[in-house]
Amino acid sequence: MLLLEWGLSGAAIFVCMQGAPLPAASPPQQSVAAPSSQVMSGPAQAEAAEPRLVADTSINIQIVDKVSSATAKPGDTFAIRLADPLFADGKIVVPAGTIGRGEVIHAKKSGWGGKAGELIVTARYLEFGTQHIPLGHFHFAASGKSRVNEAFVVTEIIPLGAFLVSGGETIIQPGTLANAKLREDVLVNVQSNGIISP
Amino acid sequence: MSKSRMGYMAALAAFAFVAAQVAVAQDAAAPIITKSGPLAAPEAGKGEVVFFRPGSIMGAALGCTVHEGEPQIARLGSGKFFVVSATPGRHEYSTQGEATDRLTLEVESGETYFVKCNIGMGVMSGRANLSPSDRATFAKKAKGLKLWEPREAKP
Repeated sequence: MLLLEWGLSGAAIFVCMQGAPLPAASPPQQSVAAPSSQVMSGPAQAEAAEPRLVADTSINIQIVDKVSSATAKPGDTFAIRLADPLFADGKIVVPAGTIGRGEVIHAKKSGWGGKAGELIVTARYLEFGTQHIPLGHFHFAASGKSRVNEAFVVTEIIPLGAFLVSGGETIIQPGTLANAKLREDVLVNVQSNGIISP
Repeated sequence: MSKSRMGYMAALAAFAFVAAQVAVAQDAAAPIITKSGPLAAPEAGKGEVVFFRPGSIMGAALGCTVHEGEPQIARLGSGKFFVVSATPGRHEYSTQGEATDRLTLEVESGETYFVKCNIGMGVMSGRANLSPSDRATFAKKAKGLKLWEPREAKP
């Protein structure tokens, strides 16, 4: 019995080591930067007190408009929205449902011989107040799971076959979940719902 | 066996099970192993475009030439792949055969993109086609794919 316990302990440790998380390829998924400790006055001090969303923060988004390889052209834009709110200092600074725009990078109709239609899209920005929050590193979500408070995202790309392929065309349905990252640091003026430039 | 010992063993077994699930999940981020070795991560500040042509009888005698602008960057035979380190930004790749096929990518640093080359049926000869693919598809074929090595740069 003691040997069995030791065996289980050893197996647990071995398996745990096998499953040890790889170093993160992207920065920690925090949306708050520590405020500067320098003494400032006036506008600089007010700016430093504003919550900041840091570059490379992962966000969950949802496709709003249907996009089809049958009709889409490179350069076409489509509506997206923030699926989960963005937090700073434990408070929501950009609410879920905030609308933005995505863009079609590549589109081709289905062809003869059963060749499927092709679509490559990306997320461009979220519209917040009077400014745009630029986005990048767009990926479709494998399962759409997210944890609201941690902005945890799933980053695996699902196979194209998982999209609806109708009559050979590739269609991205409204409601499809995806992930993106903030391209740059953004200072958020929560009271006026505007953005202070970084 | 006492109850406390049974509880301890049950906890150990549960822990081992959960850790195993974590191990499975991490496989998705593990490097893909090809016939020529593991696929490297992108260079710092760049993205990576992996062109691959799964083994197939269709058009086996024809090469899938990949161009960016005029220069040829790869000529993939059946079962070959090639990795291009690309600067961030828009890139248009094309292949030439009976007809020209184009694919536009917007490359971002730290990202890897997968593009599949197929030779389909043409009127007079094969038609090469570049189509967007994904990590999972490449990973399934990887063990049968060998890195293409250029002999000399062709204009």
